[in-house]
Amino acid sequence: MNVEALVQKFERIVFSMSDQELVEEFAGMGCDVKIAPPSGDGWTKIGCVTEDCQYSTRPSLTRTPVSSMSYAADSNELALAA
Amino acid sequence: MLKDESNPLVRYSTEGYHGTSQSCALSIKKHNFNPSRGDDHWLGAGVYFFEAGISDALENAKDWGIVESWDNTKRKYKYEIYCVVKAVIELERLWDLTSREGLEFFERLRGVLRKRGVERSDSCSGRKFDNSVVEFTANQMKFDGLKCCFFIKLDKNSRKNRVLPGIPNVTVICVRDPERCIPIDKVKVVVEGSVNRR
Repeated sequence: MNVEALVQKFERIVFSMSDQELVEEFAGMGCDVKIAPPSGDGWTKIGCVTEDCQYSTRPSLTRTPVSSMSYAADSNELALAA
Repeated sequence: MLKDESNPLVRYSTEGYHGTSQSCALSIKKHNFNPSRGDDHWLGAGVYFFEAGISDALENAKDWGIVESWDNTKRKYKYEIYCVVKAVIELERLWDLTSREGLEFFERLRGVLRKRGVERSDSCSGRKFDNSVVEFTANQMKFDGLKCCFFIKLDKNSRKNRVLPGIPNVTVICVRDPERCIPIDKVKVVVEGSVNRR
């Protein structure tokens, strides 16, 4: 079972439903629910690699100018130049 | 079990045992199973079977057929003769909550609902909410079956003493679309007996 694909599909479905639709769906199964305002966007700021960035929240993250970033030719991964 | 790598869900064939009254068993043989509905089912609306797993599924179904005959409110038997019906179950999209992936998916979708802000009201117990989450997901994702392990009270003492242990004693399959997933020509009554036998 591809869990990630299922989770993404489920997330698309849930976020496409209105609050009322969700409440009614659960009520139809005999379960009373309430919909609280979403708490944040689910993402945590981890910093930025552009020069003189002021938003880095991870002290251990090395700040590197964008121009010195390179892709490793064989692994296709982003490599941060020291 | 056939695993289709191109499909995230599991195609699954098995045999299940269903304990019930004699009159229900006769109706099942003629018209196939009728999904039971209600807000107190373990995995939502559907037809429930015991499957070989933690314990002997045939014995589980016999015990269920016997204990279910007693109406505790009216203090009398609902029926005198119980039956165990055996069925072949063929599922295209089984959500297996006995597997690591199935449980991981459930935990992840709890997170999705939390992110969306869905919370149970005070009037809804945690167990009922979990059951509803399972059913909601199965409805939206079009699962045709669910499998899980539960503790089910299968004897008089457990029910009388309202035992609520957390360790499962049976493996259960819920078939959501019996007409499509249970070939009626393979439905058989394999046990018949008096509820007063024990």
